Amino acid sequence: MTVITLTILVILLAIGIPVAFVFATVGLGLFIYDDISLMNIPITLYSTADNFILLSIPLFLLMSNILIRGELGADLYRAVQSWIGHWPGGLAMATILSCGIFSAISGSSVATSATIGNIAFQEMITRGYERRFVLGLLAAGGTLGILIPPSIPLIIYGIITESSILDLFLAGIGPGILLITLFMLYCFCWAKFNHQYAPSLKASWHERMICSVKALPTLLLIFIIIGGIYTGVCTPTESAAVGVTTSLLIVLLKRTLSWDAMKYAVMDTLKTTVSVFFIIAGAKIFSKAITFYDIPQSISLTLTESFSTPPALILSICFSLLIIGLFLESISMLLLMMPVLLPTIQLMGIDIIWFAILFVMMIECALVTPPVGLNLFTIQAVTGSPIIDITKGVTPFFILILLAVLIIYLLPEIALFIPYHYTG
Amino acid sequence: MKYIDAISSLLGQIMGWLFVVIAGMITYEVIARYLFNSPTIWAAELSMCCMIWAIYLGAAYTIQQRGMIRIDILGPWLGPNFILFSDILSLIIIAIFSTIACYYGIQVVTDSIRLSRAASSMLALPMWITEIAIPIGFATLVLQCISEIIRTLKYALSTQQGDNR
Repeated sequence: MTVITLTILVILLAIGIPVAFVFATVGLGLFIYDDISLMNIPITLYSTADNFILLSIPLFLLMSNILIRGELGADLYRAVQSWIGHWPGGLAMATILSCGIFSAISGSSVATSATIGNIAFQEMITRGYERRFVLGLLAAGGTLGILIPPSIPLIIYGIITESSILDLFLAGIGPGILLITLFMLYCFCWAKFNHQYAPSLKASWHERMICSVKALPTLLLIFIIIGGIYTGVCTPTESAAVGVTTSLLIVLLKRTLSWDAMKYAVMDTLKTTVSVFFIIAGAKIFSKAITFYDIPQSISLTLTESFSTPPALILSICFSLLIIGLFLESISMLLLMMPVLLPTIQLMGIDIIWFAILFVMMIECALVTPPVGLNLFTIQAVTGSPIIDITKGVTPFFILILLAVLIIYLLPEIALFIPYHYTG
Repeated sequence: MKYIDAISSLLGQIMGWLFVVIAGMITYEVIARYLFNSPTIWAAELSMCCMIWAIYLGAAYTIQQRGMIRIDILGPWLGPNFILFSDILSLIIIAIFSTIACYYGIQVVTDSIRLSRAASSMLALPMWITEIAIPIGFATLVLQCISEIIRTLKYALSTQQGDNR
């Protein structure tokens, strides 16, 4: 049964049927085959959307869409550039750092890539940076969006595994900083060996001040969101809502958002939300159906029998995520794998928060590996460059992400120090 | 067909703005709790209700805009006929699933009305107010799929005639 189900699933996905309906329909088929009441379908659909934590997803999306359409990313990029732009490879480092900062208000890597990519691409090309390097940098920088909190995959992970969203968010900070540092070091070394680009001029203090003041609203927003969640003043959903209102106020005061742009922001939010929620709902129907056939249990049994130690298990999971990530989009990957893996992870006593970070970093790899890598597509759309160039450019960064996975695997404290010393 | 498209896009437009309304309500709730020290009993529940409506009634619009995430690797390799096949098959599968979801969704709603089920919360809204979003949403989804199938076939026929000439 397991093999037949998986084969049908893979065939339907490969034909190009929307992921949500592949899950839902295969689940439906299993329900009918075993004579399980189809009342389960509307009930599952309802319970998926009836979740206050998940409500934070559309709100975080709406907020970053407003910021993108309101051109706040440009102000942020200029400010960071004015401070570190004159360093060797400074523009590249400024791009990574801007991606990192923007990740602290955006929960999606596509939004991060698109926002920073739009502004930084032209800037770096005119400064003579090599095209491939720039493309790879932008595709990789965007992946920080899902590691640095808030993060949509971490929210979904928290819901599947019933773990604390706050802990997951806190655990993302250390690895996020680690990855930013690795990326920036690489940019520095790259610049040392490549001299064809023209270094930016050192900005005057006056310029720095002006640029920084312009970027203040973005920093204020980060302060409100992160501060709100971490001090416990409000839940992630509430702080996302406050973030939407604040960003609306900011773009209204700055007058950078036209009525049409706002309409686009709103409709983009709806489209992404609907497709994400349908995938969640579809995956829920599917995972409900496969539990009737004991499929997760049998997979879990096979796993625990073949991998006696946690390291072997984690290694093989990471490897299979790498392969699956070539073809599957991030949220589907999470929803397909986690319910199946969860019992094994718990059985082996692997820390669920730590595992979340490793998982999310494997998703980052998936985002930049062809044929299906959403960030590659985003950068392709933003810059109009062929996928093959972006893929070649992103390869060194891809290796850096894997290196970071290894570091966090060896030193779990990087992820776990903040969450475990925070609440006590 | 024109009416179906118009309804889907109108519903989509309205549902999109619901998220702005939700953000407003929850922000008000946070302000009310901290500044006025009087948390509301309606903000969280009404925003959940709005979200369920927005998601299921926004579905037809999303299909219309081809916004559903799909894995598009074979299309570029296997050519336009395969893409046509994949499109039509997708729409048929969505239509079949939606019909079933709509049919059983109606049963859930009629049950809720018959038993006068209410949410177990302060506001105690009747359950059917939110549950009815599922049958309505999937009904519009079925209609939109039929409309898309007709459009895709018409378009395919017209381009094929163009090739023959």
